[in-house]
Amino acid sequence: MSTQVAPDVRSRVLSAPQRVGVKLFVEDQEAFDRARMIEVFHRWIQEDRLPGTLVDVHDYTHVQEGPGVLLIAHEWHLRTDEAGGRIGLEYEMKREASGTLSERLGEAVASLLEAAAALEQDTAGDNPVRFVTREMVFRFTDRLAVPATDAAFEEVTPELEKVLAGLYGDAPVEFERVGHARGPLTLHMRVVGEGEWTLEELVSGARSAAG
Amino acid sequence: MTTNGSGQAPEPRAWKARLGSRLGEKLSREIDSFEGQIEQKRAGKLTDEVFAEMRLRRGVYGQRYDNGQRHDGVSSRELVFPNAELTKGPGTLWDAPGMVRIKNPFGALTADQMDVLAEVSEEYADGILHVTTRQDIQLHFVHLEETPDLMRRLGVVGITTHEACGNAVRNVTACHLSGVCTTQTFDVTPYAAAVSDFLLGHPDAQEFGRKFKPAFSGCADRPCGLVKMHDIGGIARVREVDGVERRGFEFYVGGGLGAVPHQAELFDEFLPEEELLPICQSISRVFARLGEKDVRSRARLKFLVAKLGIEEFRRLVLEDRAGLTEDSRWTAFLDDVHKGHDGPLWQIEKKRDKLTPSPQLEAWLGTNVTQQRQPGYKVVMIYLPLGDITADQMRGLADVARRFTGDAVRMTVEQNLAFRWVRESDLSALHEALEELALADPRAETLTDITACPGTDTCKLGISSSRGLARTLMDHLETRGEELDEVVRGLRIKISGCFNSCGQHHMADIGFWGVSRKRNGYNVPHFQVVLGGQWAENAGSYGLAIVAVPGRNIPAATDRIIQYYVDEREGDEGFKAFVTRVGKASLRTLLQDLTEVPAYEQDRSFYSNWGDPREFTLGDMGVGECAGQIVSPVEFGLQASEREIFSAQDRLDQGDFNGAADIAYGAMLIAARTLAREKEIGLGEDPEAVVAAFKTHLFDPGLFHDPFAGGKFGNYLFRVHRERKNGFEATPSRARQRIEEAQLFIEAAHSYHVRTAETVSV
Repeated sequence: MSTQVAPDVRSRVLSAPQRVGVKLFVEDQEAFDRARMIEVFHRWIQEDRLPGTLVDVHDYTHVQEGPGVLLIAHEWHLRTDEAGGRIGLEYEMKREASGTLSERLGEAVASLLEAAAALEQDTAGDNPVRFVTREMVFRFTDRLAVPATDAAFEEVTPELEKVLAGLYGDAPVEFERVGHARGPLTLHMRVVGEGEWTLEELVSGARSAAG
Repeated sequence: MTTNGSGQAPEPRAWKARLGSRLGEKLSREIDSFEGQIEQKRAGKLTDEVFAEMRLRRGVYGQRYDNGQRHDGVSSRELVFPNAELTKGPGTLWDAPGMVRIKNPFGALTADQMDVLAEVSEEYADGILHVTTRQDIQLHFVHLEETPDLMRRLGVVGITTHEACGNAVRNVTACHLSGVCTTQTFDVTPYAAAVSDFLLGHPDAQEFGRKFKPAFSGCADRPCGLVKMHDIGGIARVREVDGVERRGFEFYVGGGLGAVPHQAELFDEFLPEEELLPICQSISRVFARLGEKDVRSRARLKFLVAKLGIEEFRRLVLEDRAGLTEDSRWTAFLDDVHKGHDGPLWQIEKKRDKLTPSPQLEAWLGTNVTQQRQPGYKVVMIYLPLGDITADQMRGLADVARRFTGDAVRMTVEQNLAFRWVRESDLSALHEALEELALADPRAETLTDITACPGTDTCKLGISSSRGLARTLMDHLETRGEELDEVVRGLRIKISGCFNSCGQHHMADIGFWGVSRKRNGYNVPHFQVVLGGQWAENAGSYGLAIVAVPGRNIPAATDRIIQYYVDEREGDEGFKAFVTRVGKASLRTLLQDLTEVPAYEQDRSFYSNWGDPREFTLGDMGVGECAGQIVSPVEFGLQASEREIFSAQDRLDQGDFNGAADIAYGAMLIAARTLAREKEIGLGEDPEAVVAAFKTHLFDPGLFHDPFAGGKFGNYLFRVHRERKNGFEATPSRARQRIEEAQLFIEAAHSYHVRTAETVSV
């Protein structure tokens, strides 16, 4: 596998990234039980709960505003991310990605939503974890493919809108560039239109859109 | 490559092309060469062994589970990677995530370097930068094929991973206060830099049997440099020669931690500065020529110095030195050293900020801020929990560094960051900036600033979870907070996941290292408790093991130890002196009931590591609903051998060195006989017969061999047995070494028992 990515000929600035992160926020921040995630992720490895080569669980809960608890797979990392002081679940595609930029974005979104749905399902009893469904954060850590520039922001947002239309239909979304100026291109997405969506609906939409 | 609408060429799509000439030609060539080696290995043109050493020398290391097997708590599972048939070393799968170690001489960091480190950690690793106890940075979960680009990007800001691992000269460490320290003789930074530059890739330093770690310290008393636990090390000294003040070093060789810790021997009371590089070169040449190559466990310089004796080693080095061809680099750096200035980097502002008092600021000023030798400036410690910092925090910290310290940042051997040259007038603003990054925790260099090696989190050799325990202890002690007596707040806790001592437990006031014990038919994670090590005086002395306690009981054991110290200390008695006075027997008694392990059905938590719910057992062990367990004769025998070790330590404390060595030998015999009797019922107590039976039944078939250390521990028995027959005169250090080796032999016996024992149920 090469870290050099194939150029996306439709794009002026961007190419299809190998690495992209998507995050959903947890609804009840105070009630979130970090230690429980260690058990859940270990169990997911035992049960092959998610697709991919699941390698290990790593505990970074001692780091303030850190990656929390990580589930490491060969192809992706899943973390109970605490960046910015707001806990969420971030799926980061790491390698073995294929397809165009929008196909990869669609795959990352669908994978995150499926992981989030699994977490909601597995914690459904006591102190259930629930996710905010009207916000997401996209983080492009593959700087070669998606540089942290205004031009890249302008180019990536239509691609994201296409992907998100599969989830939210016609409801408009807005993007805000967030994070450190020298950090990876990071976009905070909010649905600004009317409507409520369950996680299951989003999963279904994402999978349909991803084909 | 694509073109944009304006016809202007866009940025290239590969880092090599994009970075272009910003990367130096030599480094660029080296990284290209490594990339070529990766391709050669992929094409099957390099052997696993050769390629493994090549990548290690480039700082690309293996990581836990890289053999493609992982126990998930229920069964051992195969990790199925895309390149399932491809390997990057013996038994090491191509796609398995690995670790990259980044070498920063004396732990120095610039703000630009911090920015790039943040980038590569989030792109190629898990978004965390881990500061090690040797002022390196480690990235985990990195894919081999991404390492050349990672190296190129680091190379642009002057960072190399070259010789960060492997049988090479490792990072040259030095006190993080060098240059600004109130007690330094002089700033050792330029000398550490010179040694690092001179030995990096030096032809005379390429044929070592093992790694080689240098260190420098600006003074003898403070702990920062840890010279006496290093292969070579210099403590700054000045001497008047012909009315002129000359600089030099009190120079040590042959120290090291690892399984058997050695205190370094004094090589020269005053090594003149102009002789520093040639002597380092000659030591390298002697080590390369005479150091052990075949038996890895005896290949560190400390073993060569011990084998030859310091006088003969010194003679050989000086003889080699006399024959060296003059090299202009030996002294070229000295011009710059003597032209160097003693700061300040910043002008003091006339108007000083008034500190806005707050409990958080007060606490932080008390723990994280120290005096600098230059008036008006302070050194600020940034506490990093377990040495970890996120990419976002590192990037933010680069901004803070630019604003408050210029490029004067150092990593410390206690896994923190030191900001030097901070103006007193900036302290309040700096604290505020650090709070915004969640990096203003007021606990640097205190009891709860616990050092831990990676342990079972990522290290292939880890036995118990050092970081899991550290996290638990930090939380536990933090919740006790205010109730903790002032006298214990400065104590140091250090934890290693195994006997290899990467967590530097030997030098801690309270140290722990991971072992396993067979209890009630299950493997139970334990930690050996090591008390009374000396962090000061450049790691002046090492602690000794007291007793192995189940991991689950370590927080309670820690509480008892510190409370015992608070209650029983005399006057201003320090912890090491306290441990020496009360004696290990009383400390063992103090902890004795905590060595008990409840039945599995009663409390399953004892059978898992802290922070890891997986059962700490071999997957195929029985978990029957039996009414009870009987303790096997092997467990009895091994416990008896441990009691003997304890007696040996008592004798050593009493100054009876021959007695201590004899008892340690006896303890090894008990353990060997215990195991050999399983194969040869009726085996008596004759030492000759016991050693022969152990060799025949356990050692020669490889049964006793450690999965990683091979026959190392078994060989301890044979050597000690030979020494005993040939007459052995115990010095304090030799007696101590024998006890350490006996302890390790018994640990190996426990490991063998864990690997092979079956549950005996009734």
